Amino acid sequence: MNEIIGLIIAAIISWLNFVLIDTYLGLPEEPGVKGADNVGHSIKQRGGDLSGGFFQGNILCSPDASAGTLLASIGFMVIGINGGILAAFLVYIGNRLCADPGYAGTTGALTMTVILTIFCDYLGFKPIMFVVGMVIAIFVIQGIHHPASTKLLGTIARKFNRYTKLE
Amino acid sequence: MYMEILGIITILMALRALITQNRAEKLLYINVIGFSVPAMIALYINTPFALIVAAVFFVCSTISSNAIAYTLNKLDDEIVLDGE
Amino acid sequence: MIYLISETSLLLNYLITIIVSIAVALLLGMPFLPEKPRRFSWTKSAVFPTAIIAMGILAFCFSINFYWLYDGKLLAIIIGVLSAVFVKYLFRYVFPDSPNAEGGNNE
Repeated sequence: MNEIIGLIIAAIISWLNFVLIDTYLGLPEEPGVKGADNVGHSIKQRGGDLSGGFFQGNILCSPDASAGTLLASIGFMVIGINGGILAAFLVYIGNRLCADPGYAGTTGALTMTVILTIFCDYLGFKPIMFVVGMVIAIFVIQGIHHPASTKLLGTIARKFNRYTKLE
Repeated sequence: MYMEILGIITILMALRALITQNRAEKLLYINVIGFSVPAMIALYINTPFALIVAAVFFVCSTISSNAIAYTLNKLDDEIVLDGE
Repeated sequence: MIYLISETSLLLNYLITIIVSIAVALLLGMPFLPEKPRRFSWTKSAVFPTAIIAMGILAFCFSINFYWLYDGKLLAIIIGVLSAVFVKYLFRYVFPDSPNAEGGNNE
């Protein structure tokens, strides 16, 4: 597997894993903690979408599927399949420390472990591509232009019927 | 190659966080650093303990971002007293 | 990755621990799934913290290559039982209820 193409495919897969699982588990619907509320309204003032803003605030304030995906990739890279499952357990403890029930992080880590065993043991990818791919995915969501990425997240939230009802 | 990509992302986000004025926007750029530094740690220490170190760093940075985000709006009501 | 036991044996151990922990949790009286709305509820159930904690402790033991007797199967059963007992009785001492567990943010 060519390195650059593998990195791009790994970034797309990590992006899809964490965005779809987080959207399905309700992150765009309401802010989990007060901090996410502040960030969401601040992005809305700058021209973004409120639901996408709550999504970004929830990524910031507690470990969600993005954390689960990153730690599962790191765990798979250094230990193997046991590392992915251990990462799910560590993300659950981290979620409890941040006063969050913990569904998104553990689900993201477990699905990422399954995806990693399929891609790395049978399709010729390397786990390091998924680690760097996940960082690139978060950079695309939170580091380029917030109003545009929140509008994209808001559209995805509407398709899953998880758009926020708050103002 | 992978370490260089992570390093470039970290430096770009740090510079961008330094330049922007809006506090909530700064916090989101710092959060990207909170993702890329555990990845760099794990790439460098290529042993099983790297998972524990990366997870601890990540959770600590998330908890502190949570605390900072909670107080973002409260700073606007500050009253500054000029000592006479 | 190279493991000391075969991959099918590894998967079988995880399956055994999940099933044993869910079974013991149901025996101890916990509900099978968390109450609705599933995405935001705080109740502990047979599937949600119990199975995850059992898999996590088993993964930790396997990652330091501690398999014990019978290629890890006995360890899987013991950890399943212990995790269900832990979640039923000791969970609230280690992970206390958060202040906004009753729902909603304050102010």
